[in-house]
Amino acid sequence: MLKTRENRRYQILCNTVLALITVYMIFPFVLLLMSSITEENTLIMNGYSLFPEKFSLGAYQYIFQNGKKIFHAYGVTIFVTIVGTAINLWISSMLAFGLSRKNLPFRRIITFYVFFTMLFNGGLVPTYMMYTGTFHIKNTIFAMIVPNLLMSAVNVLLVRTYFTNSIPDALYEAAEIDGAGQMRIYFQVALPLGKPILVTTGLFAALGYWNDWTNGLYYVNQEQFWGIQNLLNKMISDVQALTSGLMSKEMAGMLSTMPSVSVRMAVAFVAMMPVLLVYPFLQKYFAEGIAMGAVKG
Amino acid sequence: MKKRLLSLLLSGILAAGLLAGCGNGAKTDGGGAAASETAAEGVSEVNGIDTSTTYEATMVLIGSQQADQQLVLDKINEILLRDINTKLNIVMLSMGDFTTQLPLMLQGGDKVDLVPVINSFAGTFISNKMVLDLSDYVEQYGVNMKQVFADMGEELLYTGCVNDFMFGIPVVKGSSGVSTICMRADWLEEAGFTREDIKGVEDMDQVYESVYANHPEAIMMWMMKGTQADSRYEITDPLTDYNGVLMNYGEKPEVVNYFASDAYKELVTRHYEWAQKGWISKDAATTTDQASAAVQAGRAFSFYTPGGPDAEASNSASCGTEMICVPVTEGQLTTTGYCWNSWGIAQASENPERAFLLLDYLYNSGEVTDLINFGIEGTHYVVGEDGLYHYPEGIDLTSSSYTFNQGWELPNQFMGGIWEGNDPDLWTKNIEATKAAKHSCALGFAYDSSALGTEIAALSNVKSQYIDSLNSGAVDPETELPKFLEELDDAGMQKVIESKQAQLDEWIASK
Amino acid sequence: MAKKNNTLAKVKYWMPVFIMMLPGLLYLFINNYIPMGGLVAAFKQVNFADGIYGSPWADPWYKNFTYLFTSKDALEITRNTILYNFAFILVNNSLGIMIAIFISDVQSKWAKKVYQSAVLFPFLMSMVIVSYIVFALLSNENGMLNKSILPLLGMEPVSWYATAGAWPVILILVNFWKGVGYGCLIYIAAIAGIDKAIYEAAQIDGAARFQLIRHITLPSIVPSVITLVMLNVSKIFFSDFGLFYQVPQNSGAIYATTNTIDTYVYRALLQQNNPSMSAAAGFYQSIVGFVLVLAVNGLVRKFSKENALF
Repeated sequence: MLKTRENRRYQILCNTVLALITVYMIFPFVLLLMSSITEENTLIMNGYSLFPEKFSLGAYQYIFQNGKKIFHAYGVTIFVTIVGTAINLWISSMLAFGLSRKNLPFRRIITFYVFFTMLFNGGLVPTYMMYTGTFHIKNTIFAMIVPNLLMSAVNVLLVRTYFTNSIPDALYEAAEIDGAGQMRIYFQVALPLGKPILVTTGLFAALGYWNDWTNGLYYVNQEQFWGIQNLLNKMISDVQALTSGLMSKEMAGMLSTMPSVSVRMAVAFVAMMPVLLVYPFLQKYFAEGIAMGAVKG
Repeated sequence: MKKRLLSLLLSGILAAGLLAGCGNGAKTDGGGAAASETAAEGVSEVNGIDTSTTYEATMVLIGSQQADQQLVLDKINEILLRDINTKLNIVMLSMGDFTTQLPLMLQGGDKVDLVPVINSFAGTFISNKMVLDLSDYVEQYGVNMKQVFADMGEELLYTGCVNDFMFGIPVVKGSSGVSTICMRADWLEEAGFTREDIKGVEDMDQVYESVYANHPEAIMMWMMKGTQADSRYEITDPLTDYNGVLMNYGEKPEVVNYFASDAYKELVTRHYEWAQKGWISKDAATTTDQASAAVQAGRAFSFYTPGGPDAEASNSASCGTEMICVPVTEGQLTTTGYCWNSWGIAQASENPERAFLLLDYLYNSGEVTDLINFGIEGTHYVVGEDGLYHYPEGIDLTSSSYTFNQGWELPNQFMGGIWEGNDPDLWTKNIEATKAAKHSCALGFAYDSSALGTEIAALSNVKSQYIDSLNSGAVDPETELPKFLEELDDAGMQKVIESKQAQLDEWIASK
Repeated sequence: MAKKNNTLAKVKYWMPVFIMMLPGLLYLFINNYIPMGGLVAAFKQVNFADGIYGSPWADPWYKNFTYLFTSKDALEITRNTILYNFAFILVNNSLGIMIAIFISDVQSKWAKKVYQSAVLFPFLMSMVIVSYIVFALLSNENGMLNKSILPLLGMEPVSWYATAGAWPVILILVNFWKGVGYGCLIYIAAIAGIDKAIYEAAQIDGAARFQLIRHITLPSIVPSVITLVMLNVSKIFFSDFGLFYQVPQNSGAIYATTNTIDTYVYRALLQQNNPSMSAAAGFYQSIVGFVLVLAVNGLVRKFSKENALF
C-alpha cells in the first residue's frame, strides 16, 4: 500500500518537473511560429509577441514562391540525411564494437587515435584542399555527405562505452562457444543489445546532417546540390543584401513588398518543419529501442 | 567466411578509391592544359599577348544563379572567341556566402582567374598572396583600362595598391562619398520643412523636434548595429581601417586618431543628446533590423546613408515611400571609398596574361557588360525609346529567366545600358560627381598593416566594444569616451598611427 | 613454438574485428589526420603563393600567439571561457541526469514521448534564431520582459544588453535549453541498458524509489557520465561562438561577462583575417584541452581502470 502511494507521489513529482521543463523547451518554438505569421509592420512596431495584433502569411508566401526549389532542396537534404546516417551508424558501430572488446590488442592506442581527432583540427584550408584537390568532391552530392559528418569520434566513444558496460562478456563467450564468428557476434549480439545507444547516436547523426549548412557552403556552389539549410540561408542573405544598398534600385523596389523580419522566422520554421512532422513517427523506434534493453540476459 | 571476404573486399575498394583519388589529383596539378583547342578564328595576338590558343577563363561573380545562364554564356563566348580567343566560365557565389567561399577557393588553389576583391579583403589577399600583383600587367597590357580612367582621373586606376602591390583594378564607378540623411518626405512636409531648410546636421534638431511632436511613437534617427562611422556624417579619410585617419576630407597628410578628435566627440555627443530625447532607439546598439523596413512600418523617420546621384530614387524604392535625401557633407574621394571593390587575378590562375587580357577587354565592352548584367537583348530585355532598358512585354522581375542586374560589381558598368526608372544621364552625373568631390591627399595610398598584427587585433576588439554604443548615443560620451581612448592607447593606437604616417610619408615622397 | 602459435591464433581471432574497424579508422585518417598537417600554420607566416607547408616560419616562433596573451583582456577571456564551461558541465550534466531518470521512470507512454521530444527539439534551432528569440525577450524597447513582465511586477525596465551582471545567468539558461537534451538522451539510453531484473530484485527487498536511483541507476550510468564529461573537458578552452557572440548581440557593454577566447579571436581577426593567427588560437585551445584530458584520464584510471577513456 505504502509502495503505490510512494510511487504515485513520485510520478507526480516527475510529471510536474518534466512538464515545467517541457514548457521552457517549447516556449521559443511557439514564439518563433507566432512571429513568423505576424504581419511585418506589426512586428517592427511592437516586437515579437505570443498574441500579435495582426496576422499575415506573407513570409511563407515569399518563401514558397520558389516552391519547386524548396522541395528539391528538401529532397537533397532527406537523401543526404538518410544515406549519411546509415553509413555513419554502420562504420561507427563497427569501430565501437572493436574498441569495446576488452582484450583487443592495441586497444588503448586505437582509442586514443580516435579521441585525438576531437582535440586537434588542421583547419579548413587543408581539409578543403584535400577534398577538392585529391578527391574532387566539389559540386557533387558527396560534398554534402562525406566531409566531417560521416563519422564522429564522439559517437564512437559513446557507443563504445555503452557496449562495454551494457553487454556482459559472458554473452560474447557464449556466442563464441556456439561457434559464431566476430561478424555474427556483431550482428546478433552487439547490434540488438546496443539498440538504445545506436538509436540515440543515429538521431544525433541525422540531426547533424539535417542542420548542416557548412558542407554546402564550403564545397558546393551549384544550387542543384544545395540542401534546405543552404537554400534558406541564401534567402536570408539575399534579403540582407537587398537592404544593404548594394543592389540596383529595381531589386530594392522588390524589398518594399518583402517581409524582411518575419521571413527569417518563417525560414527557421520551414527548415525544421519536416523533422517536427516526422519525429513522432520515428519515436516509435526510439521507445522500442528502450524496451529492447530489457530483452537481454 | 563469406562475410569476412566481403569486408576485406570492401576495405580493398576503399583503399583503391583513395589511391585513384590521389592519382587524379596529381594529373590535374601537373597537366595544367587549359589552353588545348587551337584558335579557330585566327586571332593570334592582342595587345602583345599571344592568343593563338583558346584560353578558358573562370570569373567569379557575386549574385544568384540564373536560369538562362548557359544561354547567355554561349552568346558571350561567341564574342570573346571572336575578339580575344577566350572562353568564359562563370562561378556564381551568393551574396551571403562569397565572403567565406572566395577566400577558401583562393587559399585552396582552385583554378579561377578573375576574382572580385572587396576592400575589406584586400589586406588579407595581399599579405597571404592570394591574388597576383598586377602592376606590371597594367603597364604592359592595360590598354583599355588606362583609357577609361584617363577620363575620370588617372590616379583612380591605382587605388588598388598597397605598398606597390596592385591587388586589383577598381571597378569604374561614381564615388562621391557624400553622406546624407534620408527622411520620409510626407512627415517632413507635415512638420513644415523643405529640403532647403537643411544645410547640415546641426539643422536636424529643429526638424526632429517638430516631427517627433507629430509622431511620438516613432524613432527619429534609425541606427542599427554595425553601421560604422562611415555612414554617419563623415569627413575623414579613414585610411582603410580608422586606426589613424586624415581629418577634414584628407586635406593634410597628417595621420591622427579620429576618435580623439573634436569632430568625433561632437558626433557622439550629438547622438547622445538625440538618444536622451528619445530620437534614437534604445536598441540602436544591438538591433539588426534595417532602416528601410523600419521606415516602411512607420517606426522610423530618417537614417544616415551614403549619397550619390540616385540615392533618393533607390531609397524611396526600398522604403516604399518617397524619401528626401539631404547631403550633410561634401563629396569626398579616398582610396578606401573608391577602391571599395576591384578585380584581381587569382594566384592559381593558369595564364595570368590571358586572364588580364580578358579583364582589360571587359573594361571596354558594353556588349559583354550588358550580356552579363541583363542577358540577351530581345529575350531578356528590350531597349526603350528613351534609351533605357526594360523587360520585354509580359515579363517581370519574378518571371524573368535572366536578371543578374548587379552592375556595381562589373568592371565597367558605365559601358553598359541603364535600367528603366533611372536617370538616363546617370553615368555622366556619376562621373561629374566623382570629379567634383574633394580629393584626399592620400588618394591612391593604402596602408599595409601586416607588420602590426598584434596591435590591429587588440584595436579591433576595443573598437567593437565601444563604437556601437558610442555612435548610437547609448552611453554618455563624458564618461565612456575617455575610457575608450585610454583603451585604444593601451592597445597600441599610437604605434599604428606612427607606422601609418611613416608609410604615408614614404608614399608621398615616391610620387 | 607454442608462443608463435598463440600469436597466430590471436591474429586469426582478432583479424575480422580489425577489418570491421578499418573503415572508421580510415575515415578518421582521411578526414582528420591528413589535414592535421595544417597545424603548422600556427608557426608559419602563411602565404598561398608558397602554400601552407612551403611558407616561411614565423619569427620568433611564437609571433602568431602573442596577440592572445599581450592584451589586457587575456585574463578575462580565459577566466570567462573556463568558468562558463565549468558551469555548463555542472548544470547540464546534473540536470540532464535528473531529467533522464525522470523520463525513464514516467509511466505514461504518451507523456514520456512528449518530454523526450521537448528536450530534443532545441537541436533544430540554430543559435542565430535563438539570438532573435532572446532579443525578443530582452530588447530595451520591445522586449517582453521590459514591456510586459517587469511592469506587471512593478519593476523598472532594465537595459539587459548593457547589464553585464545578468549574462552569466542568461547564458547558462540558454545553454541549458539548447544543450541539455544531448546528455539527457545518452543517459536515457544508458538507463535503458540496465537489467530490469536488478530493479525487481531490489524492490522485492523493499528498496524505496530514491534508493533504487542511488544504488542502481546512478552507478550504472557513471561510465556514460565520465565519457561525456571527458569530452567536455577536452573542449574547455573552446566556446560556442553563436552562444557568446550572436546571443549577446555582440554588445560591447557586456564584454566583461560574454567575451571568450573564440569571440576575442573573431573580433581580433575581423579586419585582418590572418590564417596563421587563427591557427595559433586553435592550437593553443587544443593543447590546453589535450593536457587537461590526459590529466583527468590519468586520474580516472587510478580509481577505476575500466572507466578511463583510454
